Amino acid sequence: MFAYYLKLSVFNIRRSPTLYGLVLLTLAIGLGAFIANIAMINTMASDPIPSKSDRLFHVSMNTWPAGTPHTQPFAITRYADSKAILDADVPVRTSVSYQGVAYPRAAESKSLTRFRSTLRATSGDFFEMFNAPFKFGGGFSSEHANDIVLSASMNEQLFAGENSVGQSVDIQDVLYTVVGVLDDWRVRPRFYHPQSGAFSGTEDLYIPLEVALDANIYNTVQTVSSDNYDDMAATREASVYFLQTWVELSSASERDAMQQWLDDYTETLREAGQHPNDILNELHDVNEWLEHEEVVDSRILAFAIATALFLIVCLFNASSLLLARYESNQFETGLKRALGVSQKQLFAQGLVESLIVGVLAGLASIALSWLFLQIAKQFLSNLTNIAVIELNTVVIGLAIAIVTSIVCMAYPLVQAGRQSISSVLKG
Amino acid sequence: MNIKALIKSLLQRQFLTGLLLLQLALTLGLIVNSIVLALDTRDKLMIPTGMDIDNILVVEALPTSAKFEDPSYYRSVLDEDLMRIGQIDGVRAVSPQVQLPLQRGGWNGNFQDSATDPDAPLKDRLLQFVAYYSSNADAIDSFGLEIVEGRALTQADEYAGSDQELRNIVISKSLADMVYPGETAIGKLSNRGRIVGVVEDMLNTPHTDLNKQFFLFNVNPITMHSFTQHYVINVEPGKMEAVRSQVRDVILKVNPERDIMADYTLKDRHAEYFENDTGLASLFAMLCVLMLLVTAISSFAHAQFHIAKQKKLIGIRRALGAKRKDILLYVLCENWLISLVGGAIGIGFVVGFNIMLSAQIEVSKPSVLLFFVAFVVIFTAGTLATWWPARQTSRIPPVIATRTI
Repeated sequence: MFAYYLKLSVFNIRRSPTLYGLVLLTLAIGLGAFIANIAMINTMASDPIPSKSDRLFHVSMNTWPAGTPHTQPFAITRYADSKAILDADVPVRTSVSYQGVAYPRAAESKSLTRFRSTLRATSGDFFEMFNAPFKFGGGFSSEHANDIVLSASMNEQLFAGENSVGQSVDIQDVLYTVVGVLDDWRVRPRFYHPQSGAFSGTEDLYIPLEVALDANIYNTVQTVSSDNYDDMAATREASVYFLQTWVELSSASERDAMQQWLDDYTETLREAGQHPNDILNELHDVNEWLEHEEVVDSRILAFAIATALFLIVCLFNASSLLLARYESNQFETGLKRALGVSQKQLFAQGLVESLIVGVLAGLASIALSWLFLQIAKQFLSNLTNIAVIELNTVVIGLAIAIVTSIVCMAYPLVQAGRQSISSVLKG
Repeated sequence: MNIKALIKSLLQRQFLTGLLLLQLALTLGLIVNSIVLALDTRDKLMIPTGMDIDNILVVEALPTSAKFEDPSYYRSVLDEDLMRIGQIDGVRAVSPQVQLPLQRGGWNGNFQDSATDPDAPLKDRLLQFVAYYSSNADAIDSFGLEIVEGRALTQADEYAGSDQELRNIVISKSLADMVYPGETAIGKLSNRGRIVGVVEDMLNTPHTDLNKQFFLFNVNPITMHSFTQHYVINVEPGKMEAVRSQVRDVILKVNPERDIMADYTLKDRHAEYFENDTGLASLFAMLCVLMLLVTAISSFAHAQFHIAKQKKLIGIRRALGAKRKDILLYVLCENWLISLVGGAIGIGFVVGFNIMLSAQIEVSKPSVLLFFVAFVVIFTAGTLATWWPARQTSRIPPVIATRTI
């Protein structure tokens, strides 16, 4: 029966190409704008590490040494506090890191060209904790070794993509030994440090935190003016805030234990007179942290409201077009009913027809939404890594298209079925 | 003309009429709010910057070699850079900066008069974030700013120590007015140094109060190898391209171990600063264009398919003695009624949509005038779209129009 309905629907559509063409165009434009928006929100709001996003926690503390009241704890931590968390036994793993800029070159290379690259100075658990995939080698041999891990693209630039483990890289005249090369690693949004661009991709180079401090790899920091420091090594002793601290717990239920540990730790600071502000320690799991940092662009949400309304307008238009189509078909419908076709059968055939329209409109709208995203990137350059269509968006988009198509077909169908046969056939 | 009959006939087609009404109201809501956004953006772009942004070039450079970790080495290179850039034909002044105006925040700190208690609360919240332009003596000229009181800074004012009595500074007009209202700031000692001059305001942070652009200049170029150095170059009108094409080579010729990351005018920076606003306004404009396209499709379809159905009705009316004029008037009245009701519902949509938007972004309230302008445009377009097919239909002789099948 389905096959027959399908045949009938295709016949119907081909019989009035202008009308169905317009219906398709209207739906596709509305859906295209809407799906483009869904695609952007989908990228911004997706869970970057679903396997353990409820067990990874960002640590915020309120250990600011001067008595200026902060209503919110700091997202960045100072070395002493992070070190204490590293040594604590509640977390399974702890990552303490910061971002910097470096100009590396392959030490053996004849070319003197250096490549501008982003660097993450981090404690050793980072790779395992955040599921960084290794292509060659592995993580750091020790916290104080001049080891370096390269991203796939940096390895491509410096060593033409070869297995470079054991080779040397020169940064600011310091030699580092390559111990690992990452595979293509996409974290979207980059949850572990969204403040420096949640969609700017993972770093090019990774070196041990202690080594980076000794090598004076610089980073912008927050500090009180009384706490002077001459180089990054001196920040170990000073109240200089610049580190991202994350803990991995064995299960989400360990959260209270971690919170308790932090509160106890800061309490000892306060007893020693080193915690002038309120004790305010916060743990956020990955998704809470992304929400806290407002990773989803509010402008895109605003635009989403507009495209949703626009989709409704398009739906109304398509519906009113289809109504005209059914009204002009009244005679034929009446004839069918008189020959014994039940209302249910008519409705089923109409559903098949709307399914076809929905699939066609869905496909056209995905092509259109790609076009919209290209335009959106032109207008807002910071959308570059956000305006991408992923497979799940295509699925969602098609589903929305089919639902929309059925909705806009529903009233005209019901209306057509309601006509009394005799009055229609009398003409 | 019988309004009751008109309403009755519209109610008979309630689904179609309802669709038309909602569509009209939604269109109004979207278009009015898009215009509000566009006007808001225009207002932001029109804020005076206080600078000749077309003729100020910025070149960003970052040292790539460890030699620059030695401040005296860095300084010798910097001095030569400044001298060489200054020699390029068309360059009026050049200064090294670690931050630029038209920013969201950068190098800043609190500011107060030395005589006040350091623990006393500041007069204004923004006094916590007074931007320091630590640069050379030409910094004020490189931004093309005028001294309004006191004197400009000279090379003799250079001072890198921490004794504030010995450091001379020039502060912005609005900063002087805030900290020293009704008196001269010249000669006063602040926690950032001795004030020797007051300079007119430039647009430092556009997102904060425009009458509180707090910043100061002192002579102490920053030579920290890990900070991007911004060379701010004030260029004679008409010579921008010539200067721009040479400046990279000039800097690299002094010392090649630098990464010249970018060169742009302050006008580019200005456009980039407001890119989020203009980008969103453009997206809404694009949506408006699509909306018009869909409306055009709908009008076309309406004329094609619905009027065909009306043909018979019009024919009957004509046969019963209605004149062509009456028919036209009837169809138009129907359209006007829908437009008016749609417009009334539209007020709700305009306001509702505006409230929804303002939960996400900053957007002004729509004005009554704007609503009326949008309504008149839509009303006129709707009238034309109805009038034309109705005229065509009313021309058909009643005999043909009433014939079935």
